[in-house]
Amino acid sequence: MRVRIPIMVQDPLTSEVDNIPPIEGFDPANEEFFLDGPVAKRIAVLDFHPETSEIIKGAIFQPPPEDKKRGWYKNENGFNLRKMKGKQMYDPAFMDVSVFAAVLRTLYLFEGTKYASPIHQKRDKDVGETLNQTLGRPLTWAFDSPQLLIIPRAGKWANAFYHRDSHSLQFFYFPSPKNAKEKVYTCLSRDIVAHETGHAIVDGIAPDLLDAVTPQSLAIHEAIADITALLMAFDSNTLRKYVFEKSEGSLEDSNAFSFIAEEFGQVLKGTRGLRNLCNNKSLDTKNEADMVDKYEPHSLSEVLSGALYSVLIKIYEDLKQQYRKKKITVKTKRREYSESGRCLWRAAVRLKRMTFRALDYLPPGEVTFVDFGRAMIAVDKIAYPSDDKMRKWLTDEFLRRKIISDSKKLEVQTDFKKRKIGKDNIETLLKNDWVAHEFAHRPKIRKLLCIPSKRRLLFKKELYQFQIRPRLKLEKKYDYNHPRSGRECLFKVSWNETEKNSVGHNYPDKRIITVGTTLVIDWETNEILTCLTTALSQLSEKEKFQRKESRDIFLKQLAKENLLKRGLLAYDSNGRPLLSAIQTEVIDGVMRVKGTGKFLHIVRR
Amino acid sequence: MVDKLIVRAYNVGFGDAILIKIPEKDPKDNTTKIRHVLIDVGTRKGGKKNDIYKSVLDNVIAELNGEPLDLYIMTHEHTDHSEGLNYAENSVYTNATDELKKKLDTHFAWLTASADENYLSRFTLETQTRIKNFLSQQESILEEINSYLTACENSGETTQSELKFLWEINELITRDECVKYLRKLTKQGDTHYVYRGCNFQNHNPFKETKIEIWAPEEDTSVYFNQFQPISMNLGITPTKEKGKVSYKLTEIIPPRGVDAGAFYNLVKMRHMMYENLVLMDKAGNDTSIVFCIEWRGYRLLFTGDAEERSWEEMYDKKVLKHVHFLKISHHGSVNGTPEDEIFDEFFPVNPKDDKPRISLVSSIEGSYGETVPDPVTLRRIDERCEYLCLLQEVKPIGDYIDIEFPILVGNKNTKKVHLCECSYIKLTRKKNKEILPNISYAIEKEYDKCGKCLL
Repeated sequence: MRVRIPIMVQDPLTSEVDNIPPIEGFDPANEEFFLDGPVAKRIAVLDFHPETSEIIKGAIFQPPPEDKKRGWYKNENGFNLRKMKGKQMYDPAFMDVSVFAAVLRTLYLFEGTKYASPIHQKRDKDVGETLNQTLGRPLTWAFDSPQLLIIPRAGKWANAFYHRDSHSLQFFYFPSPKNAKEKVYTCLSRDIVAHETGHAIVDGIAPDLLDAVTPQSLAIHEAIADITALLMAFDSNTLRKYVFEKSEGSLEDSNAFSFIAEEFGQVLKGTRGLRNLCNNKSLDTKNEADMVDKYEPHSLSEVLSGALYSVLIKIYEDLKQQYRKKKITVKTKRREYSESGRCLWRAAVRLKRMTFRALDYLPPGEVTFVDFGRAMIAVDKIAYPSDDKMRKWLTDEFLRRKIISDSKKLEVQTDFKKRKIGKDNIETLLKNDWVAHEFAHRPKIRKLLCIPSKRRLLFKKELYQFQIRPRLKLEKKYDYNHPRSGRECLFKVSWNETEKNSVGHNYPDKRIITVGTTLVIDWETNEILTCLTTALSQLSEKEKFQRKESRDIFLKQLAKENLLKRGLLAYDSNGRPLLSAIQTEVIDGVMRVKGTGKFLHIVRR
Repeated sequence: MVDKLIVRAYNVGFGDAILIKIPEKDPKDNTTKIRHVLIDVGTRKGGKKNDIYKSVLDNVIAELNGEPLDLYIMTHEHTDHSEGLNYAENSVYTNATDELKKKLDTHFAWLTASADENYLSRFTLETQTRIKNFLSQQESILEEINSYLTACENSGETTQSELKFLWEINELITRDECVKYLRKLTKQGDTHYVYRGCNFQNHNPFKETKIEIWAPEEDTSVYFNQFQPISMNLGITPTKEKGKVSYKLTEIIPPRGVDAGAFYNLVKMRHMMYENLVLMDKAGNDTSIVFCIEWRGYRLLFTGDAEERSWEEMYDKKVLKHVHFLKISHHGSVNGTPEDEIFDEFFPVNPKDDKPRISLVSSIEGSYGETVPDPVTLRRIDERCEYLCLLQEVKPIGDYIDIEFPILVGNKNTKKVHLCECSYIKLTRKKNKEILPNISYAIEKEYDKCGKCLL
C-alpha cells in the first residue's frame, strides 16, 4: 500500500532562520498496511496526551479512493497533513505523521528500499542499491518483537532516547528558554529522530554495545547514530539543494549537513548544533583545542564521527574529480541530477555500507575504535580488494586523531590463502546450534577463534565455556564500479573474561567483561574471508592496560554519579529495571554491569 | 564520679528517635548541668504507633525529670522522622491541650531549613522558580500515586507494599501537619531553621559543648533530581462518589495494529511512580540536618537520612572531620553511606587518634524490598569501627540502648571495664578488648569496674 506523508527537512527553527522549506513529501511504498496513529507493521506512533496522558487518536488514515493509488493522513478536522504549512506543524497529528515518516525513511535508507519518487528509483539503479543492501540482510530490532513504538510527546524534558526495554523511541518537548510560551519538540527535528532511530538500528545489529563498559563501545553507538542523522540529511532533496547552492558544491567547511540537532543546540546551548561532525577532535592529549574527554562516551564519539565525516568528504571529492575527468552527466526524466548531488549520494552509500557492515563484523562484547576501524577495513577490503583509497583515508584519519599510533594497528588479515573451514555445510552451520557448537570446539577452529583454554575461562563446563551467537547470512553487493555480489556467513562466538575491578570498595574486586571473535566465511566456497577478535590474548600488555583503565575510570564515574545500582536497587517494585539506574549484578564475587547504554541519553541529571 | 555523655537510641522500627544527655560544666560556678537533646521521633514500620511513641516519649519525659528539653532537632520532613511528636500529642497525650508540648517544655527547636514557612523568600527569583517547579512536580507525582493507590483499593487490586510505604513517608498532608506542629513546639516560639553556615549562636543551649552543622545547604535545589517523565492518570479514571472525587482503574486498550504485549509493557514503563518516588525521597533525605557534637575530645556525628548528594556537598565544602561516633545515615541503606574517598574523611579505616569508634544503625530487616539495611554497607562500616550497634538486634521495639562517652572498654581476661583513656586498658592486647556500650551492660556481662578510672 502507498501513502503520501510529510517529513521535516530539518527542524522548525533552522528552516525559519535559513529560509529552507520546512516540509517535504515522502511516499513510503513498502509497508503492508497503514492505520490510524500512524501505525504500520514495523513501527507504531502512540500519542499520549502531554497533560492527561490519555492516548489520543493521532493522525487518521484515509485510504485511497478507487481510482487512486495513494492514501493520505488527515487530522481530526479532515485536513490533509501533507498539505500543512508553517505553524500548522505544531498540530499533534502532524507531529505524529512526520515523526512516523522520519523513522520509516531512516529504515528505508538502510534497507535501500525503493521510494516512489522517480529520482530515488533512478538513484537506486545507478548505485545498484536494492532491498536490504546496506547490511545484506533484513534489519531486525534488538528486542523480540516486530514493532518499534514511537512516542512523539513523551513528556516535558530536553531529551529524546531509544529505550530497548520498552521497544520505544521517546521524544520529549521543552519550553524555549527565551520564550516560555514556545515549545521545542524534539520529534520535529529530522536529525534527532534519525539519530534515535539510528540507535535502534545499531542496537539491532550490535546489541552488546549498550551493555559494554568500555567508553569507546558506547561512543561507537553515539557516533553511528550521528552518522545516521547525517545520512538522513543527505537524503533530503530540499536540504541538498540548499547546501549546494550555498557552498557551491563544497562540503569541506561546516554546513547544514555537518551540524547535528540545530534547533536543540541553538535553544539550549546557543551554538549552531548540538554537535558538529566537521571537526578535528582528537585523542591527542597535547592538542588542547581539540582534545576530548577520553572516558566520556559523548565527547569521545565526536572523534569517531569526525573521522568518518572526513573520510566521507574525501570520497566525495574523489568522486567529483572522477566525474569531471569522465565528464559524466546523467539525465533523468524530470531534470538533470546535479553532479554534486550524485557524488554525495554515492559517497554516502559507500560510507553507509562500510560503517554499518563493520558493525555486523564487530566481535561481540567490549570493543574500541580500533576494533571498529579494523572491521571497517575488513569490510572495504572484501568489497574493494584492489581499491585501497578509502582504507588509506580511514587509516590517515585514525592516525591524525591519535586513535592509533601506528597504521599496523588497523591491519586486518583477509587473505587466508584460500583457507577453508572444512567441508561443512554452511546452511547447517547457520541453522543448527549443535553443529555450530561442535564446529567451534574443533581444536583448529577454536584456535582460530582465539577461545582461551578451559583453565582461563570463567565457566569450566563445556556448554558454558563460550557462547555461539546466532549465525547470519548476508547477501551483498560489493562494488559499484565493477558490481559483483556474494553471500557470506557470519559466525560469532563470545566468552567472558575476568579482570580486576578497581572501581571502589563498594564493588567486588573482579568484574566480567565479554569479548569474542567474528569469523566471516564465503558462503559459496567455504573460504575464510576475515577473522576479527577482541580476545585478550591477542592484545599487547599496553593495550590491555589501556582498555582496562578506560573501563575503570568510566565505571568510577558512573559510581560517583550514583548511577551504578547493585542488585535489587536497580529495579522498581515490579521488578522492572529503573530508567535512572545502570544495573550491576554480583555472581560468585564477580561483578557484571548491564545497561550502560542508558548513560548516553537517560540517566544523567 | 566521671561525667558521662549518653546517646540513648530507641528502637522504633523503621525510623529514628534519639535522646542525647550531655553533661556541661558551667564555668561560673563549676556545677554540672545535663543538657537534653531530642532528635526526630518517628516510625513507619515495626509495630503499633501508639505503643511505640508512648514508651519512647514516657521515657524521654522521665529522663527530663521536670527539667525542660533543651533542644529538639527535626533532621528532615519525612514522616519516619517527623511524625512522632504530633502523632503522640493527638493520640497518646490527650488528657489536656498541648499536654506533650507542656511536658517537654522545649527551649530550642531546630528544623531543617526547607521546613521554614517562608523558605522561598530568602532566594533570588531564579532559585525560587527552580524550587517551585520541583515542588509542583513533586506534588503532582504524589497526587498521581495517591489516585493510583486509591484506584487500586477501590478496584480490589493489591498494590505494591514498597510503593505504599515510600508514599507514606513522603506524603505531603501528614508531613505538613507534623512540621506545622513542630514549628510551634517551643514555648517562646524559638524555632530555628538551620543549614550549613547559618548563625545559631543565640539559638542553642550549649556552653561547653561545640556543635557544627555540616548539612544541608541552604539552597536545597542542589539535591534535586530530574524526575522521569510520568504518565498522569494513565489507566486511572476519576469518579465522583457522594460529591467526592475518587478513582478507579480502567482497562487501557492498545490502538489497532499495535503489538499488545509491547504496548502494555510500555504503559507499565511509563508508570514511573516508584522510580520518581525514589528520586523524590532522595531529595528529601538530602535536606537532613547533619550535625557534629564535640564534647571533651569526642566527636559524635548525627546524619539523619543524608544520601550521596549531601555527602558530596559536605566533602566539596570541606566540612568533614574525623568522628568517634556515627549514627549511620538512612537506616543503613547503600545510598546513606558515601564512597570510601568521602567516608575516609570522617570515619577512616585508620583513625588519627587511639580512641575506639562506635556506630549505630536504626533500621528494620528487609525494608525497601530487602535492600535496607544493606549488608555490604554494614560490612564497610564494621571494618571502620570497634563497635557496630544494630539497634534492631540488641533491643526489642520500644526499648532503648545507651551508648556512653567516654567509651567503655572491657578486658576479657581480667573482666575489668575501663574508660578507654585508662592507662590499664591501653596496655591490653587488641584481641582481649571488648567495647561495652554502657556500664549496666558491662555489669550484666559480669565485668567489674576498674578501680582507677571508674571510681
